[in-house]
Amino acid sequence: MTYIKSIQLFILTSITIVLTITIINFVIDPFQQYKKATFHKTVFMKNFYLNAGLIKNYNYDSVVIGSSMTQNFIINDIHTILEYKKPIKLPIAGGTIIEHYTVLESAIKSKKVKNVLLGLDVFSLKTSTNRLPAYLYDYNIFNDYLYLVSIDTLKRSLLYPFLHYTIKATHPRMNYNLMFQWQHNFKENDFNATKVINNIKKKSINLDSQKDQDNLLKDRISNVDKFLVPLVKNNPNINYIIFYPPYSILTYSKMEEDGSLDGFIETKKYIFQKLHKYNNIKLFDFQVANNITHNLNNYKDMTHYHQKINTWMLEKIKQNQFLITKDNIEKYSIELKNQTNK
Amino acid sequence: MLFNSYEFIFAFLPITFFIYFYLNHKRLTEASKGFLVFSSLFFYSWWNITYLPIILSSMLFNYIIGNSLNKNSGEGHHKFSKKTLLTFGILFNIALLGYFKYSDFFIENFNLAFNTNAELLHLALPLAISFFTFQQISYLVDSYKQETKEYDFLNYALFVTFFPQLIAGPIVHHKEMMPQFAKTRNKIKNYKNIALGLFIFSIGLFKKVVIADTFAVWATQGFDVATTLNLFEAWATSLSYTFQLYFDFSGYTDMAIGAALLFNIKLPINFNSPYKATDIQDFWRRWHITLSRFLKDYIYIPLGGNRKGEFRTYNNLMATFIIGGIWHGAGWTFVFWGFLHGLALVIHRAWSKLGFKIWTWLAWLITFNFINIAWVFFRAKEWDDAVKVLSGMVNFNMIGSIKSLLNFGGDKIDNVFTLLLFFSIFIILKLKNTNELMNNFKPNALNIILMSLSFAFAFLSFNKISEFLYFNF
Repeated sequence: MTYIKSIQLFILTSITIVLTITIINFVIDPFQQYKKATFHKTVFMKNFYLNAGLIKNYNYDSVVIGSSMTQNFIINDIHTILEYKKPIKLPIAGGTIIEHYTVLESAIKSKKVKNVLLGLDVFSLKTSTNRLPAYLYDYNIFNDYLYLVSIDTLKRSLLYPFLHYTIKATHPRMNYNLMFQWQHNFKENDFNATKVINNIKKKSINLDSQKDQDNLLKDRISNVDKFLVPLVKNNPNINYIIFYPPYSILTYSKMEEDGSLDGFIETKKYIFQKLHKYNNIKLFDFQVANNITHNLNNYKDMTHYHQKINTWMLEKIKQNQFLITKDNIEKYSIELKNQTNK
Repeated sequence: MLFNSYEFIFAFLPITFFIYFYLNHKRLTEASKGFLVFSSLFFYSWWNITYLPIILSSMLFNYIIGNSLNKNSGEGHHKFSKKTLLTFGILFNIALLGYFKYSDFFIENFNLAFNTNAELLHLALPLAISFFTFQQISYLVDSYKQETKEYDFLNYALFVTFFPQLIAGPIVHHKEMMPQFAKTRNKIKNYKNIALGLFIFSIGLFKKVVIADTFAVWATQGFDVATTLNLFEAWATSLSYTFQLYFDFSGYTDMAIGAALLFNIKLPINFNSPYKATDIQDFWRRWHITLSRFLKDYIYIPLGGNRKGEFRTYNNLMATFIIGGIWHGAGWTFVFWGFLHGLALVIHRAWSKLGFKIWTWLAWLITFNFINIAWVFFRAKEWDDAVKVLSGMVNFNMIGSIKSLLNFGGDKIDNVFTLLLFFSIFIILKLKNTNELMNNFKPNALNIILMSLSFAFAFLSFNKISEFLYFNF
């Protein structure tokens, strides 16, 4: 064989291999970018990637979004209590505001979204790091090679058609109603005060207490202006319900101890001040719900509550309880601050 | 621009290749050389153009000093003696490197020692400065010794900037590069070199993107993320880094050698199966060979080498390796890594003098484990991280299991692959290394399949599906 021939063959063989794998990935489409799963059953995992496919190819009119604090909402409850017709859950564990923003923007472009239920963690406002694969969330086909021309995608193309054989059909991961929940990973008695207190040293969430508090407040404010406000302002036809999740009392005490609670409350006030003038939003604060936050048996650690609290919140939202208004915002702030003294 | 990027493989490399040979074909050889320098500077600036003036001025300065050292054969005609000029030249290079690379390290230690609070400079390290500084120091020293010819500036610029070796070596020597740039025969496309270059490039790409980057996940998890490590995890961490570093660096060097071959330039070999070494001296003859060569010729031998008695030899070895350590990075962990290797070489020397011999397999085991442990200091960002990994490696209270590694950073699916790679690694290390493959290269079906698979597999691994570790319930 001549050298020139070997070069030609090398190029030809390489292209053939790459093309074959690209086609396999396109046909199986493990993250459901081009169609609902046809060769496999949807297993609700890897939501950083799968969310993008759900957004494009599922049918929904309402979006539930937020961090692990929203992962346990039950679709049927949202449907019956809030009367959303076709809700979908697109949570991101430990998500930052820009990530929630990316997901929502993408969903709004794809479907006519009427309602958004957003669980807002003040902690999510500090950075603008976006870990999501942007090429899946946008609608530009020219960067899809990042998804298709990929061995990592191929691994999943080959595995996903068989994955459901390894999981029981009744498992929550196979169930749209319970999509992306983590409740089933824990036993009922994991939610108890002794365990929470014993585990207090294992921080489950970064409380931002070490950071320079002045700069932290500036970062949060700028992210509110950049991501949160435009979502509400630019989509007047979407009804937003934004709520602050009820972490346990230990969280606020810890923040008070570290000197970060004031900044936390300041941020919440700022958000209200920026958002309350819009008609398409209601803001709820469950962090003053003492009967929940003071009962550590509702928690598995300092911040994460039991699934029944998710349902409880839906009911309270329906009844407009814990709704933040001009009249109670100061009172709520004082209450949150005071309860840490007890 | 990295070799393992879409823009390098699809745009930069083919465009540069075709224009270079087109210009040569039209007999515009000076223009083609100029074009190659320009492309290399473009390649350099792709990441951050603010570094461009630094490399340009360093190049110009050294060229002028080198030339006047060379011309300045009759002493006394000039204001400065040759020695002063050389000292000045070397100091300039070291000062430039020192300023960008070591300022903050110096300030930190100054603050610590004198309890002061001077601000850090947070300078961004200009790409490749460690490499081009060494290359040019050797050029100055050789000019002083009248061992360089009067090179023209374009050739000199190409020697410093030639993109395959610019960012991560090999640290080339002017003596091996200049004649190649001058040779007319090298200006014509050579299909043998192209085939061989693509072959080596593909193998290197595979080593870097598939093997090294896979191991990187566990190394990062163990060093940077995990707070405690069980026995299995700690060994997985340190071994992962040991393999990552070798496959990353030698893979990158292979790509450099391959890319240079497309232009009919042969770069020196830099790795020769270093983990097969059975003693530490042997290791340094196989690992980053061009750096060892530089350290030997321009530090160890000028210090006196082994010619001034046994005690001085030990001292010189130690000094050379501590300098080698700090060259790798500004930090005490690097100094300590250099110290460990210096110490090992001293022990090895004393040991061989006494005439002891042990079984080869035991010698290999001791050498490999020493290297593996020393890399822990090289990789750790803080002392605490090094201590964490090392104490995990002897943590017999928390053994863990192979199964626990499936949840060690990253996705289960990917961890299965990492585990498979882990078990096959000693087979991979047994295989022929790139130099051996290169020497036996024939354009046959087997080689074409090997290179196509390597290339395609690596190319398909450019974009990874990553796991986002935030909190695990």
